[in-house]
Amino acid sequence: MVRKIPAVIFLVPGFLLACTNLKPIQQLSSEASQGLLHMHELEYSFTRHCKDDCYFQKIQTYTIDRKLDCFCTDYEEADRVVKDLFLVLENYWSGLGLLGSPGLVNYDLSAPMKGLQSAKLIDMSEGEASAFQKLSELAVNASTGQYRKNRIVYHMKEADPRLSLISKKLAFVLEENLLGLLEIQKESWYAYYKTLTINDTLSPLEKEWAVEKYYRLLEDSDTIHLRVQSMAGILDLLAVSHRELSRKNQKASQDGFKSGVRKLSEEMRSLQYEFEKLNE
Amino acid sequence: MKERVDSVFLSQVADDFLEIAKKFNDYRFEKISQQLISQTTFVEMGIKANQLMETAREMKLLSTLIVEPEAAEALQQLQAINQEIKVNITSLKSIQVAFNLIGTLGELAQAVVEKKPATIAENIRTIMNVLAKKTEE
Repeated sequence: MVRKIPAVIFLVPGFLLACTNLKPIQQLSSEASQGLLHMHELEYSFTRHCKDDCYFQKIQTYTIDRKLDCFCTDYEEADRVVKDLFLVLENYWSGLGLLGSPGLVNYDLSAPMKGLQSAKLIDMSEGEASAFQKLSELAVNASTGQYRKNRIVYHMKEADPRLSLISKKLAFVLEENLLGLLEIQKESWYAYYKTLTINDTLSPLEKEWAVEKYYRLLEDSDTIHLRVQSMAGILDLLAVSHRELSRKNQKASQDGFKSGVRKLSEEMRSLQYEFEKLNE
Repeated sequence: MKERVDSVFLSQVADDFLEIAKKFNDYRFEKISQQLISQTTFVEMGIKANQLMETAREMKLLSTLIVEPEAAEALQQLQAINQEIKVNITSLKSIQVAFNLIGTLGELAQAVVEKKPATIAENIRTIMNVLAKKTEE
């Protein structure tokens, strides 16, 4: 005789899952996702830099064409690298958030994955490329449910070296290369406008205009600088917090984990505050 | 992980070049204010400094996109040379030496970006000679 299994048994796993405190995980990933959103507010990119410089070249040579033709293909390529790195991080953090959500039944990562796989990653050393791939895979595996509950922390542990590598790479590209380009641009402005001020054929009023223009450009670039630096700071903070949380804690429900997330929240909020101030 | 190190390295060399270009700009602005150089020389020097910065730009881009392993050795040599130039450029008495230096450095940087090992080596030799002369003059 086949005994009827009480319907309540089916409810138990879901019930237990709901009881498992996944809140810190949710909080962690929500902080992370919010922080990463600032990437869209940078208002500066490799392509932007290329166009700004192209525009400035036209000014220097008093060139007017019907269209501002700028050759920025390589810069667009660099932006694609930035975008690919960013997407894999965003994907991971939002995947983690979904894992922490009690209502999760199914999550299909195939669409973002497809995009990631077709993306052309040109500067990836072997380590970076495998980190990139592994991180994407983990997000998919994790979503199938086998890493749920406290396994999430083990999952984080496994993902950590990759997350760290990708975060570092992105922070490096932003801080050293994107901001490095801005620094070069600043020197071009300096040389050009300073030359104008020693040009005897210009009137004092015209020289005044040059000085004003120069300092305005400088002021704008300082804002960009702070924004990009804050973004790199967010990336570093997320990578470090991820490492600490996955190292120290065996279970997401432990106090250490919770206080770690709280600390991250506070630091993240202070970085967010910096960002908001810049956007005022 | 070799490439990653090279990416960092290439980015640093670009920073060096920017710093040299800045010092060179200071140099030419100072010389023209003292009326030690003509307007033409001043402009020509500016073009050289711009060329150097243009290459630094390309290096920053390459550092983001890709770094060829063969460039690594040249970059190492360059870093040492750049240190020397940074220290000395503003104190150069001979304007011709300063001019040659910034010009050759620009060519060398271009060769790195264009990945021409022979030209890199040749330019490194030229720079060494220019730097040797600096102490004589």
